[in-house]
Amino acid sequence: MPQKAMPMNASPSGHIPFKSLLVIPVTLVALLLLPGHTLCAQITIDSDEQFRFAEQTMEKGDPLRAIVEFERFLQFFPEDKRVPNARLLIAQCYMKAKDYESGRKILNEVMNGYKGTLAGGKALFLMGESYYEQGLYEEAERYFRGVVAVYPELELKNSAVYRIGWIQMQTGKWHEASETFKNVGAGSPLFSNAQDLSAKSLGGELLPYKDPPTAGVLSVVPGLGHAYCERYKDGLVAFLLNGLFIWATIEAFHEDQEVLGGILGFVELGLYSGTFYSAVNSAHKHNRKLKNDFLQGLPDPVDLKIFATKEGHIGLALKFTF
Amino acid sequence: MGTVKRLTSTFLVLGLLILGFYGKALAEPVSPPDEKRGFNPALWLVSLYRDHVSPIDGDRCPSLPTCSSYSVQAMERHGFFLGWMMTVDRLLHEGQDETKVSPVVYYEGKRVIFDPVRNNDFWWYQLDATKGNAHERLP
Repeated sequence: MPQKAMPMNASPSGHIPFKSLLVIPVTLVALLLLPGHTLCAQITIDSDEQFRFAEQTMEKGDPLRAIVEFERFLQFFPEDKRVPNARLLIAQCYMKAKDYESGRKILNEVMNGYKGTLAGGKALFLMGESYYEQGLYEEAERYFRGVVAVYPELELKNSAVYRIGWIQMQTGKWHEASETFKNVGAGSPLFSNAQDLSAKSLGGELLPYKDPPTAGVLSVVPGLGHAYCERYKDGLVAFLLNGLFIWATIEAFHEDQEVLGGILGFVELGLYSGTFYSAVNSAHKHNRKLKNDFLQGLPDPVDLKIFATKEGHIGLALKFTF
Repeated sequence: MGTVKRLTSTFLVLGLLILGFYGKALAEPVSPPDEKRGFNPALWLVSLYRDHVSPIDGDRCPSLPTCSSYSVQAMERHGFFLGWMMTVDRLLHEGQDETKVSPVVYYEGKRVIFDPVRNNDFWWYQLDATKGNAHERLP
């Protein structure tokens, strides 16, 4: 009769002996007694590293992730000197992500919480920047003028004056812009650029603009206003469409089809008024294109950027590109 | 003279009828779809076109947003009369002439003219930053 093979440490009855089972708790205890770092890596982040990492994330062009990192900084280091700077940078990140409302909410908090300080001034300036980026120049100018009035001793003032000059160019106030650029202080890094712009901005007045009212008046003859704006095909389409509807309306009335004539006439009224709008709109678009092309050709190599030092001071970086 | 009189009286009657029936809806900007404020005949016509004509006719609009979407947006923002004028303007200017003054972008693999409502009311309509509608900016 063949014999069954039995494990060496098994009892003849097939049960594992109690001594063998003791190995498990002993091993567990031994593992628990080992130093922590042998089982898992432990890291300690200090405020410098966290802040630097958040800044690097921002520089890499990932503003939403940078916001999370700056918020982590605020959460773990609420007493750090760079807290207001971190909040300003969060606002800038929101602006980069085109979420201007969220950015402005934070800037408002900083403005109210740090009135009269450098951080408050930066927040005021960035409020202007947020509106400037959105093309809401009236609002932007209001904030930049606030910076000039409240913080006259800072370099921030020169940046605000410089931006006001750009707003005036954007809104077609070429002479005023030229004068504004002259007010940028001689000690400012923006000085030479501003002097250059002061002279060149006057060229904006000499561009071959189209007069919108003239385009509208010419549209009494449908299509003529478009032709004035150098949109000949649009003009031809406007002329033909209006002509056909007017002709169809008159014919309908000649044929005693008064209801049809009324409907056609009503549609033609809309078409005719739309043609006026179109001609005036074309003139404005033509002028905008001219102005934008002109402005893009002007030197504006300045990228305003706020940075913070380890000691908690806020700086204004001017990045020049050539 | 008889024709002129008939023309004038017909337009007057038509105009009064339309204003009488739809006066409120025509004068005010159209509210968002979830807020029922009144019937807008132009929006109804646009929806008729979008539901029954466009699916058969095909997507031939060279602009973004499409002309029907543009029309709805223009009427939502500016009401019937200005929305209508802006729609006519859009239909007239959607040719190649527009590429000189508006950006051309690629959308769903197609080269289209980026021409939202903001591109055509920027010279008279001030966006309100406090109402959160100031997110549109054009180059």
